[in-house]
This record gives sequence, structure tokens and C-alpha cells, in this order.
Amino acid sequence: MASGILGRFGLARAAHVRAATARADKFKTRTAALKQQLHAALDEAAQWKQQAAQLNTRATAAMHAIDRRKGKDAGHLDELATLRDKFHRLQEAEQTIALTRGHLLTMETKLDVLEGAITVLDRRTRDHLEHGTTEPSIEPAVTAKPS
Amino acid sequence: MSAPPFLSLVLTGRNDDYGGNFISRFFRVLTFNLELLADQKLSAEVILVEWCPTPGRPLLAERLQESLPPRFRECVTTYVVDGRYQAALSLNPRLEYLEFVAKNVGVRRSTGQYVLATNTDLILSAAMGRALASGTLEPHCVYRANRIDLKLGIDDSTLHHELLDNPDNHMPRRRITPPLYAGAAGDFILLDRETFHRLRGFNELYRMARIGIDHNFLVKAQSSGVPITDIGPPIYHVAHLASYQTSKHTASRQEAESRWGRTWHNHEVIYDNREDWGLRDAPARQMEDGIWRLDFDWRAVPPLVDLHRIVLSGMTTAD
Repeated sequence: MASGILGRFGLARAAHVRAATARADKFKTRTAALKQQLHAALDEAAQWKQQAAQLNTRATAAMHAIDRRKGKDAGHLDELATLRDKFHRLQEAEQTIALTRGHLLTMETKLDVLEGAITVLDRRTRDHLEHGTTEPSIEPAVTAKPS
Repeated sequence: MSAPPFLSLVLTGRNDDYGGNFISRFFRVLTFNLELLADQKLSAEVILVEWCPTPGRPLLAERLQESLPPRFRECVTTYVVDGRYQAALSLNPRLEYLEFVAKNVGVRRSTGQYVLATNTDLILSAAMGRALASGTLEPHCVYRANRIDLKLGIDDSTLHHELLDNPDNHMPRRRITPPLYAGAAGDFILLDRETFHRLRGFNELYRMARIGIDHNFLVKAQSSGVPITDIGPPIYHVAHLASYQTSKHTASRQEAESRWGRTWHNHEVIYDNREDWGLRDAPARQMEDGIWRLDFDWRAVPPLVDLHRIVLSGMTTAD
């Protein structure tokens, strides 16, 4: 009732005024804090934006570097393939040389045997012609026994 | 029929006084070795191949039967090979002793479970006796041994282990190493008889040399998939003036060729002996107990040349 009469004269009870003032103060404080947070968020956003721009620049540079490296690697891979091919051919050549050498040694050994046989047959022929014998002779006393 | 002996010792020699005091040296060494094997309770036979005996001299076989202690006489069998085989087989008229064909004659006729192709002046060490008796020998494996040369001039008139094992009496010598464990291989090649026969003995195709034929056997064994290993204990060799080690640097070229033949490609080129290796078809005639004579017969003589049996190592052909 009393507040209704006061209200007609544009007045309010002191208690209401104090409460309203307190709420207004609280809203002001809250608004100020929000403003501060907003400024901080804006600053942070600006920093992120800057960082993003820097990263973008670096990523672009890295992409360029990758492209360049790809070109180089392709060259190296070609070179490596060539070297591998040469290495395999070298190995094959070495094997062929070893085998060929082996065959040559075998041929030499066979020639040794042939030479020996010819020498022996020549001796036998001469013995036969000179003495008329076909039997192998017993060699004279010799000093040779394995040790 | 008695059980085959554990070991066949295959030796070759003749009464030609090789190296001086040959007979007394040989008999002393053989008796020592047989006593060592008997101590280890190992049954053994000795196959002595008297290759082309020297005309006009008593047979080594007869001297051996007279001189050997009676208890060992029974375990010795000598094959006296007619002298004409040397001339019929030789491909090098300067080479006077086809040592490894002679050894093949013995290997072919051995009956032991294991066959040791060795020489008349090689002494088994006590440790070797124990190794042979240990029961750890494996078939299908070539066993080699380090040879220790006893200093020239040491008193070897009585052999005993203290003399042999004393390092002061030893001459330095390089040890045998894998894979072939080569080096004086002709002094000690031990393997089971079956594998020795499967490999058909030593090279009989390259009858131009004595030197290197033993090494060539190792190459052949390795090429045929037979492993080679060092048995561990050593053997001893009494140095004498005619031995290869002593005289290889002093012999003239002609002397060297008559004793050992020329050097050849024995590390690379191997052989595939004929089925009748070791003079299989030589007619055998018993002269007396323990002494057989292999008479000459052209049918026992392989062809002078059999080139397709000379092959590159690792490419041995099978019959």
C-alpha cells in the first residue's frame, strides 16, 4: 500500500532503491569483466590469426621444398637403379670369369695328362722299336717313398 | 667270419732305404702305433702296400713279418704290387712312386669300419689313441689332424710319449685351418670305409704328381658334400733328410720332380675315378700268411687318358 502511494509521486521505498542500486552495480561490474574478457579473446584471436598466417607460409614453403626434393629423389632413384644393374652385371661377370678360369684350369690339367700320355707312349714306342718289347719295364732301383 | 676291425691303417712303402734307416724307423713307428691302439682296446688291421718292390732286395713284407712282435703279425696284410704297374700307370716318367695309387690299393682292400690313410713315419699321440677310442667318430666325415714335426736329430731310437709330447722337441708348424684343414694331408686322412669307397679313393687320373693329390682328395670330399674336421689331437712326424718339409727347398728341380712330380691345379680340378679304382682287377695271389702279390695284368690297368673324368670342383659327374 505504502509503496503504491509513493509510486504515485514518483518515489520508491528506500529499501527498493538500495536493492536496485546494488543490482545495477553488480551488472556494471559484470559488464566490465565481460568487456575485459572480450578484449583478451580478441587479442588471442589476433595472435592465432598471425600464427596461422605464419604456418600457412611455412606449409607453402614446405610444399615447394617437397616438390623440389621429389624431383631430386627421382633422379637419385634412377641413379640407384643404374648402379644396382651395374652391380648385378659385375657379379655375373665375376661368376663367368671364375667359371671360365675353372674351365681353363681343367683344360690345362687335361692337356697335362695328354702330354704325359704322349710322352709315355713315345717312350713305349721307342722301347718297342729298339728292343721289341711291349711290356712295361720295371724301373731301376730308385729312392722315393712317400713321407 | 670274424667281425671287421674298427680301424684299418693304410700304408705304403718298399725296401729302398728311403730317407735313411727306413726299415728300422718304420717298424719302430708301426709297433708303437699298434701298441697304442691295443692299449685303447681298439681292433686294428694294417694294410701295407709294397709298391713295386726294389729288384734284388728282400721284400719289406717279409722283413716286417720277421721283425714285428708276434702278437701284431696277424693284423698285418701286405699287398706286394708288381713293379710293372708303376710303368704302365705313370704319366710322368720322372715320377718314381705313385704313392696315392698305392694307397688306393690299400684303401680298396681294407676291411675296417674306419680307414686311416697315413704314412710309415707317422706316430699317433696318446691323445689321438683316446680320441679314436672315445666312440665319437662320425661316419660321412673326413677327419684331419695337426702334424707336429719332431726336430731333426732327436734320439727317436725308443719312442715314448714323454719324448713326443715335449714341446722342446717340436718344430714350429702352421696349424691346419677350415674349410679343408689341408697341410700334409697325406699323413692323416681318416674316414669311414664306406664313404672312402664312395669317393673312390685318391685321384688316379692325374698320375703326373704325388704332390697335391692328398689336398685334391679334400677338395673332392668337400665338393661331394662330405664335411672335413680337425679331430683335435696331433700326430707326430719324425723329420728325416728326404722328407718334403726338410728337402723341398734344397732338392734340384729334377730331384723334386722325381720325388713329388710337378705342381698342378689340385685346388680346383678334381676327379671321378673309375669303378675299378685301386687296381681292383689285379690278380691277387697269396704268397704266405699275410702277404699277397698283385700280379701284373693289362686288364687291371686303367686307360692312360680318361679326360671326361677330370672335372671342375663342384661338378663331379656320377656314373
